[in-house]
Amino acid sequence: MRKRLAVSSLLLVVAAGVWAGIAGLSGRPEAVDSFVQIDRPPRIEPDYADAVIPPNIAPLNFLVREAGSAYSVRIAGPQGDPVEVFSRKPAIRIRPRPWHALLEQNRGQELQIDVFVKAEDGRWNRFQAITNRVANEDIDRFLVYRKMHPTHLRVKGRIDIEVRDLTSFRKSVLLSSDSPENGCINCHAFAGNRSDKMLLGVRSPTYGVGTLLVDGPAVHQIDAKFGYTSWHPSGQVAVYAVNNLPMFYHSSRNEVRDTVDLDSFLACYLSDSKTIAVEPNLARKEHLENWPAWSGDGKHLYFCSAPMLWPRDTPSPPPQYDQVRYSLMRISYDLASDRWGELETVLSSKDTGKSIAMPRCSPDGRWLSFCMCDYGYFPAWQAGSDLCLMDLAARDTTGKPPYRRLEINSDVSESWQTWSSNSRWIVFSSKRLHGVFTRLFISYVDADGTVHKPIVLPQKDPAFYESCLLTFNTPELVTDRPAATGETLARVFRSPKRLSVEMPLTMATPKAAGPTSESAWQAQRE
Amino acid sequence: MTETTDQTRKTAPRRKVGLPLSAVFFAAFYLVVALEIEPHLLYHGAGLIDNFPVFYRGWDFFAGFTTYPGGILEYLSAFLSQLFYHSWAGAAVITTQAWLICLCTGCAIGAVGLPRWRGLRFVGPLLLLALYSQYTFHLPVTMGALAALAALCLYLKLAPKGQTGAGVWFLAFSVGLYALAGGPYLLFALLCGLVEILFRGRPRLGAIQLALGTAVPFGLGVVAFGQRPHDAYFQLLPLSWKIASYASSELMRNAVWALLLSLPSILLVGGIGSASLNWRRRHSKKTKPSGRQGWLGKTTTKLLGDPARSRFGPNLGTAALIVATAATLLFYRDPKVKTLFETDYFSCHGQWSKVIEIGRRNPYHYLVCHAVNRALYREGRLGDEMFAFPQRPEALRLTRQEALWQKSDMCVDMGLVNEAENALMICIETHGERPLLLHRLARVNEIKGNISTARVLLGALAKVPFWSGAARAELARLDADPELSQDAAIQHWRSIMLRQDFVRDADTLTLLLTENPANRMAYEYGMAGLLLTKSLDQFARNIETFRPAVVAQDPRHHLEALLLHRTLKRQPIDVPGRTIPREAKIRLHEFFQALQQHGKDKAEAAEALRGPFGDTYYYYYFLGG
Repeated sequence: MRKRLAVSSLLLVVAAGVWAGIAGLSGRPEAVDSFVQIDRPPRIEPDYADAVIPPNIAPLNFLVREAGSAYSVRIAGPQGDPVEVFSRKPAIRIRPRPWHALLEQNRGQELQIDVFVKAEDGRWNRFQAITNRVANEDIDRFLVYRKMHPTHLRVKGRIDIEVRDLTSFRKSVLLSSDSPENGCINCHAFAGNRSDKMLLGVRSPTYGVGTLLVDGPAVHQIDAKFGYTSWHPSGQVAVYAVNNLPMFYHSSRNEVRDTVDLDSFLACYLSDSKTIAVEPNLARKEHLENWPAWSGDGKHLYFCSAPMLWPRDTPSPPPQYDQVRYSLMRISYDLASDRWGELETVLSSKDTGKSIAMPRCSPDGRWLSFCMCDYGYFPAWQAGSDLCLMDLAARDTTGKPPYRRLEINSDVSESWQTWSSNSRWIVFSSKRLHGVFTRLFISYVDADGTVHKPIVLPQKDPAFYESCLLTFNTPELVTDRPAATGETLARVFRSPKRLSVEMPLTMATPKAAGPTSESAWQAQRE
Repeated sequence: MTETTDQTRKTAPRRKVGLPLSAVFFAAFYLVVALEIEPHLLYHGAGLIDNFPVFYRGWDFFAGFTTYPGGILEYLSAFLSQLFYHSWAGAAVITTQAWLICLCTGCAIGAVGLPRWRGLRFVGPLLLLALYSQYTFHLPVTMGALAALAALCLYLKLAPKGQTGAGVWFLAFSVGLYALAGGPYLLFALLCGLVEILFRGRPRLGAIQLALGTAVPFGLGVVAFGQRPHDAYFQLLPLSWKIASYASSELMRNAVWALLLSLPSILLVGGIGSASLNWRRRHSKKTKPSGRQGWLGKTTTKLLGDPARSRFGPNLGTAALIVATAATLLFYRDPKVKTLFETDYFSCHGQWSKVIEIGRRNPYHYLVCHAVNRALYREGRLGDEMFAFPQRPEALRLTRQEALWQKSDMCVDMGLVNEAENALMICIETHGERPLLLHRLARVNEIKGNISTARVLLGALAKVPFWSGAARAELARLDADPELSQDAAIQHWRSIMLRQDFVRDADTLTLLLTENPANRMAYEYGMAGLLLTKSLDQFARNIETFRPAVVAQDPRHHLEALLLHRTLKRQPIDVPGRTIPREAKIRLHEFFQALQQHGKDKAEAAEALRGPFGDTYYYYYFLGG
């Protein structure tokens, strides 16, 4: 018996040794003593070249799309120790610690990536170096976004609002559609770039419709359906859209899905008094109002507005659905007295011939980014949607709206942009990589408003996006990890206890206002 | 010497002969599942099963299952269900599961001193047979039941005799089983509690086990894993909202409950029976001989035979099992449902002759009729033979009720690519990322030229067992020819694709034909639709407008309709270039004569003329539809 045990143990040790030897040999770095220079940069995916990258970003793992039996990558900057990665496979995974050290020491400087590929004949090829610049300014540490299947009409698949730590690959779920039992989770809105104040709309076939309000450590549920929402920087007022947004389909356009804002207005939630108010200028009967966005100083509310081209109760889609073009408007606001000023047209659709949507102001008040598309309110489903940037400071001095289409646009849809708290980074959704499966991109905006080549949100597995059937949208950058997540939020939503808010009786467009539990099965907009 | 031998023969237990009963039963079980039920049909799903799990190879997919109790078992179930791809492998999974349930049930029944009830160990396998005979998919829940039964057996066999030791073992098992299986842990705790209270005379330990049974999900699920209480307790049980949210999980839910509660019921009845027997013994003046059976024992022995002789042969146990199995198959076998699965399976795999054969054998069904028409079209026989099969207008293009799973292929073939994409995306929402749907959606995107989207879909498909080879080959093809310009099928689909964009209902078939008169399917379906709705005026107009120049001879039903139209409108039967064959005229004449014989009694006429004229358009026009 003992003999048998001894033999078994010996066999185990030998097997472990052989396995360790094989594993060790296969992964042992090979020295690249000599190489042949290739006069072109290597093909890598994702495309992490010629970009400006945040100094606190997670390692930019990538795949080398060059045939070979071994890969050696050297990442170096003017300062600090280079980072070297050796791999038998084309997947290059960079160790986080040396990567962060290298980036930290090279803020504002260039980073060079040398890729060596061992060819079949055993010799090494060195490609032209890939260069990226490390920005001086950090990006906010946390990115909160929504992850879901591309939806057609109804939602049953899982939706996650996910929190990603941009300095690493750690992710956590803020709220999943499982929590409200196959519910729909709508756009999340933070006050400024802080996570201590957040609104999140939830619709559930079981628990009805409500909006979660995170206010510091407390979580409440408001008994109302909030659409696209923007918090005043003070966190005391939130303006949200109340819409009727049916979905319909195109018979042959490449993007099948489309939607129209049949009827809408903007309402204000006053945090202190827990009331809802409607400013008549934000709820004009013959107009559609959508996409509220506060300026960085909170003195103006920007939003999109278009004349309503159809009578009420027109079946969807109205014949004029593709003629609705939204202008960019703004209205002044005085927080102390809770008074609204006069309406101003910032950029008219008559001048642009296009429709404006999803405006967002940089927190420093200098820039206003927005989407411009052929018609309608929802650029994510329009291939022609481009990101634009307006210099608000220049507008205030010249009175003209100096805006431009950004050079980083692709020939497919760009949408859902958000700003970092230091106004140096934008994150946006784009279909440029994988069509219907929208991905998130990070771009640096320098002091003069130049927006640099974006990088796709890095993932631990560099091949992650190649088989990911989910779409990523509604990115929001925040400086802290949201305190209330998961079951804490879900429990509040499921509880019957709700903050009853007073809705004014004189709603301008009441048809758009009614949240029903049936609408829990309405499609989510990506 | 001879005497001694005879005596030995008399006293020694009778030698067991023949194959063990369970071996014969499970061999038959395997054959029934593999050959009759055919698990590959469940894998296919046919749009009728919406709870079949998705499975991808790789760590990331597995990691998602490690974040909640029961995830590991769910992962294992998802993996095992992939083996349903091949009927023989799926049958092996189901049979092994049934055998293990039988083994564990038998073990538990034996361990608590009810050996004469061991015949009831076949209840679980028979319930499984019933579930699969109805083409329902409950593998994760039944795996949960199996895990609980297996844990019970381990507890009964391995736990120390002392109460404290047994309690500690129970706790250790509880943590392990709950982490592994989630909600079905409740079944384990219930069984342990019943055993301790009813059979081992340790009511305090049993009560503690039952109390722990309710506490462990809270402690581990709610507190440690941060789950909501409902999920912590009911994960992988039929009470779970996740399971209930699938329409197909509603089917045969009672049988699932029966499977879960069969052993607790046996223990409860057996335990109470034993307790009452003991009570009667204690209160009876006469001391009964030890080992005497109670009425329950006697009855079951009579019914199911002595477990010591549980061999396949001419005994009551074998007979009872055969009868129970036959009754299960008789009550639960559902050829109609199987027909639906088969029709869709053959349709998706282009086995058109089999689809037509099914149509010939079966009465009208919306989905079968649709598939048969598509098969006839693919075989070039739609215009000649469609009225040889039961027809209704709505089945041709699935216009009566939503059948998106079946619709997408037809839409692609006809040129309605966006409609196909829409149907497939909604199917993915409702049925999950089923490989067939991913494959179809990749093809739709290839047709539309959305190669980057197609690549992502194929990338996902490459991680699905049994599909990776095809997906990789497709990806390699895209590498070599990114525009797929050499792919004849893709080029054909692109050539017939609808170009005009609109967002409201429109006459898509006419638009398709106007854009591309060579769109044969649009033509044939358009004409078939007019025949089915008996719109002969429009039919006559369209045949003039859209009839492909290359058609040498109009199909039989088209000629019949044309003849009928001209006859009813009193138009000249033969016009230059469009003469009607003499046989058709004779047949119509004969039909009218036969019809007149039955006067106004339509039902009688329909019955009488079905034989000679049932496959003609005349019959459909006057007596069918």
